[in-house]
Amino acid sequence: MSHSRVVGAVEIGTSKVAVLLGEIIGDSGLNIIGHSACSSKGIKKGVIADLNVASDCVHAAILTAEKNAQTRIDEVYLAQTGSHIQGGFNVGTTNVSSPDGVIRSIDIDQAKEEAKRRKLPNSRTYIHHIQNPFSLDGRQVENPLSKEARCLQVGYWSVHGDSEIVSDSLRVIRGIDLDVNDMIISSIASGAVILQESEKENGALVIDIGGGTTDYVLYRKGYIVKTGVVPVGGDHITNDLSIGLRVGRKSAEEFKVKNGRAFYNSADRDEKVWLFGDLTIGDREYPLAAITKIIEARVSEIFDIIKEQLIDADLLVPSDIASGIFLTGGTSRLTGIEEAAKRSLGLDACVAEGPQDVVDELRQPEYSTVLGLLHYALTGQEESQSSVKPAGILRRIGSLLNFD
Amino acid sequence: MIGSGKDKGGTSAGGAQSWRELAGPRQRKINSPQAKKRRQEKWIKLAVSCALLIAIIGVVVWVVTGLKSREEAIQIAPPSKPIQRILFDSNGVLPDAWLSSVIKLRPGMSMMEADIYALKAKLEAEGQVRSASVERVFPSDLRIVVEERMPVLRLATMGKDGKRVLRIVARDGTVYKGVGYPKAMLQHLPFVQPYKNPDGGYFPMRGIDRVAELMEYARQNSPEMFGAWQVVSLEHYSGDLELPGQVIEVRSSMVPRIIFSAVSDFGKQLDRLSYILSYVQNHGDPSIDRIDLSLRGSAAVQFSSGRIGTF
Repeated sequence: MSHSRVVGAVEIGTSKVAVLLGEIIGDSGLNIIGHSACSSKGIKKGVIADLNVASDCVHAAILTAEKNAQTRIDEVYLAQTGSHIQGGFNVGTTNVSSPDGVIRSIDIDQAKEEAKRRKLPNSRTYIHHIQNPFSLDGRQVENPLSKEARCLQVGYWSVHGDSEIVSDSLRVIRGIDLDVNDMIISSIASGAVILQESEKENGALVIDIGGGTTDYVLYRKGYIVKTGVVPVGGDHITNDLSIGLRVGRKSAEEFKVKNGRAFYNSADRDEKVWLFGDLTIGDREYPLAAITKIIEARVSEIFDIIKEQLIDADLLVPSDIASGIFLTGGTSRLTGIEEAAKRSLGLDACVAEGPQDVVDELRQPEYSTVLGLLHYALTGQEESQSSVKPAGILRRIGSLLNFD
Repeated sequence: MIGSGKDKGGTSAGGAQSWRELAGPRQRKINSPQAKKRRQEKWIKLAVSCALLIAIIGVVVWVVTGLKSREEAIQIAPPSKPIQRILFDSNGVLPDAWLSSVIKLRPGMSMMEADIYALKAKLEAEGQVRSASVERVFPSDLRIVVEERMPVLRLATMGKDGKRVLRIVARDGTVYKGVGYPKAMLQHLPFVQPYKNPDGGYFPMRGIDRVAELMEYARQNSPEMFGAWQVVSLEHYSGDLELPGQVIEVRSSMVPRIIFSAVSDFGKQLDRLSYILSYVQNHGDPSIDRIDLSLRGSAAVQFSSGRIGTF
């Protein structure tokens, strides 16, 4: 009988908290058995601002998901976002130790350790060490073992965050007596679920535009070479509309969803749209040009920041990003956003489609991060696999009795 | 499967300064109402599960106990009849009264109540019994067959109360009380003076079978001479024929001391004894103190006069 475990994928976003429950059977089977989402409270720009309020909100979402699935979560996979997340490229170099110049595993380990050795300030904590290709005397190889070279190099894209902020999100989960088995930044989780292997190999830029932040990840030759978080998201567009059109946030959000477009078109000048469109008191007309210009400004800002960061890293090379841009996250539903991305970044862009083997609701772009978390729950991040505790007898009995 | 395969090279942040080092237990737990509710549910489930488990165990124990007591009530065979007769058979002299006093069966005891193995053990614990067999002969008989030890010698000992106590020595050296033997039979058995073991004790007595051979030979071939044997002294006979100088000394009313070699052929020794006695009788019948038949090639005869002759 193969052992099954129930994993909870939790994304604490600026606008919503999403929880997805997956039952992992053995090492390869995954069934999505429940989900829930609720509006976020106590969270600003992806960061927990009020621990107690945020805990109430996250715990309620977890309980609802457990109730829907009629089971209890064994372990949690947590998404991490926020502008506190930064990354840096570190290279580890080692001279090949054997006299014949043949690379052994000890040389590889030494180079890896060297790359990960960089000490962070005490206020920072590592979230990912993402390995890049090896380099043998300047030649890039995937597996250097048994090859000949004098100098072995390996690069790591290391993602780190503010210790206090990361700790807060862990505390929220531990507050409901659950352990965080793994933590994955939102962009990587989304990228894992929306990209195919070939798209990663050809190079792809995944942009996850959420409510308070925009997360991106750049794949080149199958490797993650850069990640980033832009502290601007769909909520900023709503805010801008609210201020610009002098309407409430709720109306601005509805307006954005119903009539919003990510770029300005000259034809918008003559077109007017109703605020509510149902002839209720207070309903009034607005020029579409005003709306699209407001939205375009903010959307362009997002893409321009990403563009700037990629140019700074010398990574905005269209031939290296042949698969183009894949947009996801709730705000990627905005009409014309792919066109806006294309205009800003000069790359082909499309709104990513969710996986085919999930229900329609979960195929929506706002669920790509939690689905990605489940992907990692199933496949692991390689080294982190060892941290999965083997199920003991008591644990098995507990699971038989549906007791956690 | 959701998504593509693993990321090349891995993305895990193990090692120093990893988020995993942000230890949770040291931090104060956030107690949201939902967390409290979940915790309560957990304990309630645990309590219910325990109660359920105890109830299941209780039911199982109750069922097993019930079945067991029912098993006891089930009669596999019809009730056995009481023992009506005891068919006692022995190759010796043991009487029925002795049997009754040993096995002590409760009146009205059923056939199946009688523990035949215990009875057999009880019978075989008696010195006079070499082996016993006890069998149920349905519907109502118990057959007991015993094989008795045969008496070879008599042993006179001093009881705790200072009185002389007679015991019987069997061929295998067993010493027993002796029940049911005719007095005349016992009177013909010579007394034994046992060998004193290095530890100072007399028991167990070894090599009695060899003594029995001598006596049987004498009884068959020279009954008159055997009738005069009064004591068989094993003072110089340990029972181990490998040891040198192993002799059996017989004290009789005709010759005070006749010494037999325990190793040599008894037939030849007894023939020589008969010859000596007949020769002496034909030559004035002088009184003899000792005849030593254990010497190699000849026998020495010591007369009461002190003269020693060899034959």
